[in-house]
Amino acid sequence: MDAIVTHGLTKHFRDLTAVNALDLIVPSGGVVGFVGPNGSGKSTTIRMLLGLLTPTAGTGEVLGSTISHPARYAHRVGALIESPSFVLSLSARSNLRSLAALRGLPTTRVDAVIETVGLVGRDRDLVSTYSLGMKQRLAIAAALLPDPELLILDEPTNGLDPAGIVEVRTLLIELGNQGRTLLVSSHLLAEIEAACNQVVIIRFGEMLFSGPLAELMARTAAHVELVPEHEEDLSRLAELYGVRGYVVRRDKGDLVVEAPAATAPDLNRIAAQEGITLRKLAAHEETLEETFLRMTGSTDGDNATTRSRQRAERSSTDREAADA
Amino acid sequence: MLRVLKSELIRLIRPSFIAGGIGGMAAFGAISTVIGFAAAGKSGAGPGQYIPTEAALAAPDGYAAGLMLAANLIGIITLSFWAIATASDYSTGLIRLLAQAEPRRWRLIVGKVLALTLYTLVGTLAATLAAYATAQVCALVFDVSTAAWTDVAPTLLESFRNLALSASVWGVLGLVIALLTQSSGVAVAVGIGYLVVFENMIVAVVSDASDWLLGATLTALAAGGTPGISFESALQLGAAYLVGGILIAIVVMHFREITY
Repeated sequence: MDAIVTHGLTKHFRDLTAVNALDLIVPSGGVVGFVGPNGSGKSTTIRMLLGLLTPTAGTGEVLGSTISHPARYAHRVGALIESPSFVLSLSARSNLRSLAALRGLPTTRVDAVIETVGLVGRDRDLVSTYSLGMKQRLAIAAALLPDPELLILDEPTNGLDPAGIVEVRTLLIELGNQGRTLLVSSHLLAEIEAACNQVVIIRFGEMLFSGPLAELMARTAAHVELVPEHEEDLSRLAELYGVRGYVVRRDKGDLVVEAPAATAPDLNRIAAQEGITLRKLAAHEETLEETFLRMTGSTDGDNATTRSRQRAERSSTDREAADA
Repeated sequence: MLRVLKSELIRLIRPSFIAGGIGGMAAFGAISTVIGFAAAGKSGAGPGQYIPTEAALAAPDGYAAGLMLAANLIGIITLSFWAIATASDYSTGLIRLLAQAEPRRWRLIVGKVLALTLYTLVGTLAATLAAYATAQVCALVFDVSTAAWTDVAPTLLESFRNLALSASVWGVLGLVIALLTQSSGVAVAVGIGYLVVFENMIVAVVSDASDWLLGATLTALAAGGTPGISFESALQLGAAYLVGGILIAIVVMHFREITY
């Protein structure tokens, strides 16, 4: 059974479409990255899944129950939604006790989550004395209180220093290894790459990709750059590769072969067999960040002008298609 | 529901709320008693202001006369307190965690009302006891006879009941306005503005409105009845305002989109 499934999930805020007919599948088990530019609809989607917002259209299921009845699965789901939210004039322990009481959980759960996130010794201090990183850890502790099957974390590494980020990353991997499902929204793509085995990419409330990280990485654009020792060999080399089915282009003095890095030895061998010595042989593969930017564009979804322009462009394209 | 009540009580029991709320109510109970004894029998009270006579202070319920002076101030403290407790859920973003953990939002409202009512009961009890203790001292200082202050418990209990009922309705008003505006500051301003200014303007235009409007009802509840509204009528009207307010809060909360 999939942990989260949505069909045509849509949310309008007046004339703004925050989420547009989103079909989402999050399989059970493992850590799933939920990425998209600012304002792409990640938080709105998460809020609809948690019953905080009512969808304008579409349906969804969380742990097999419809999102129109969140009470059926709330006890099996933990969440960190945007910034940590606590009563600053209470201790971390009292804040957690209050949330545990709301869920009908024993205080042993409070002790357990305090230990899990490493706040032992500081748990009786007022939250107002906490650093942002400690508040973030406290928020993760609150999400872990119900010992959830599904953990939804919106930007869990926000405000953390590098050591804190590594700590949270390790925690996420551990939690994922325990058989839980984690849906982790983050801007830090390196974190997604390090902690997640599945990824969902959305932009302007629409899904661009959903699947294993390995599948996404297999789609990454890659090329090998070559420069022969003698410039006059450039054309012959291009012809040799072209004959063998490689897509070749010239970029100034370089020969660029559109192929994965693994083909570099073969390209080198072909050149050597023809007596051509290579002065440069460099394989380049897209990082997740480059793939993300290529898929989503470099626009920020929070920018209303950008979004309006995007919509206008889409409408114009639709009109042109209709005219044709 | 009990889970919500317990959760709310854990958040309410903190030094700032105990000192500001319960301590504030007790302080007003004591101060107003001192003022009542000091000003007894003197003329010059402004419109709507109650100054007890010396005979009233010497009556069997004389020690509670100061509470009458404090009733509206305690009501305002209660309104502010309920409004802060409600609006801070939004300003801190805590509402996201609460609504996610308990999606049956009516329970969040009813649990909060129960917790705040308990808190109000403790506060008004503290105010009543503070007024009584202060009255004992003031009687000596201002030379007021306490010969009739014999059967203390029933009178004190009645004063406490009236004050608690009145304060609870003030509180629900604060909760509803804070829920609608999501701001404790606006809730306090609107609540006080209505009760102190706007209701008087309505009464000036519609004279019999003082028989059922909120402010008049709260005054009648606190005083155990007024010439315009009997205590029984005040009790019925107060219950109607209380239930109406809670229903409005439940409906608002049910349909609220939590985007905070």
